[in-house]
Amino acid sequence: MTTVLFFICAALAIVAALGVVTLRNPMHSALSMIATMVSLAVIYLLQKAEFIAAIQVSVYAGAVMMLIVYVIFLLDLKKESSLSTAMFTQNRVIAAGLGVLVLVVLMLPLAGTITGRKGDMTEAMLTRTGSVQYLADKLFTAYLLPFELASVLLLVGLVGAVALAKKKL
Amino acid sequence: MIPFEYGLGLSAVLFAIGVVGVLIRRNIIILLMCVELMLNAVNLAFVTMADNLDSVEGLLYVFFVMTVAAAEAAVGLAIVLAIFRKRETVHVDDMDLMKG
Repeated sequence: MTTVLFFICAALAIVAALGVVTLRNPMHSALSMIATMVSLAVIYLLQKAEFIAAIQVSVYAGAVMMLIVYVIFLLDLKKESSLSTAMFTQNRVIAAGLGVLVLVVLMLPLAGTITGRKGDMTEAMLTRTGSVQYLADKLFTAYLLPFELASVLLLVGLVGAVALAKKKL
Repeated sequence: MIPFEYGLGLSAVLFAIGVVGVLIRRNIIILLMCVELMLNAVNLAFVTMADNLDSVEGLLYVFFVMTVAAAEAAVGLAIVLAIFRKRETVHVDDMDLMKG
């Protein structure tokens, strides 16, 4: 059951990702991107990452994509007229070749064995505390400094975005 | 439990699609979306390995990647707005002020 759901969501994610790359209208691309993110959120749920699934939907599909959609609305975009209608231009063939190369390189490690140090987020642990509480315990103790730095980064991003988007630069 | 090879494979496919998107599209907003797509692929790899190794560190990394991605999107779109105001274009080939 889990595997079937995984494959459905994976197929949806790939189709939507192809839509982001190929659709002509930026708004359609953005909607496709939201579909990718939501199907990834379902996959995160299957992988015991409930908190990550929730922030994937609220931060990524909600906030970030809303920002992009607003900018698309705000700018008076004509259809990408320079996007040539020919299916295979030289650029695209080269780009597709490079994409296949990246795919092969990324897939190569899967042929061998992948190992790593086991953590303690086991099934028994999760039934005792719940994954969100366990994540929060780590985040606010061992990873407190990175957490605070991330908040500073967000503040810098906020100020930078407001300063850049002002009428007079 | 899903075999981790499936998750990593899906992540590799999404990352490659993002790379191709950055290479073939010329609209800067779509380029930003393709970068987000690649970040999502990396997040999927992190979550998959965290699930496979019963380790919480992968999930924490995803949290920080999302923070950085949100800041990047905000600043990136502000830059797009500023460029559009000045040059009336979102076409990356027209943004040649630095003669790249």
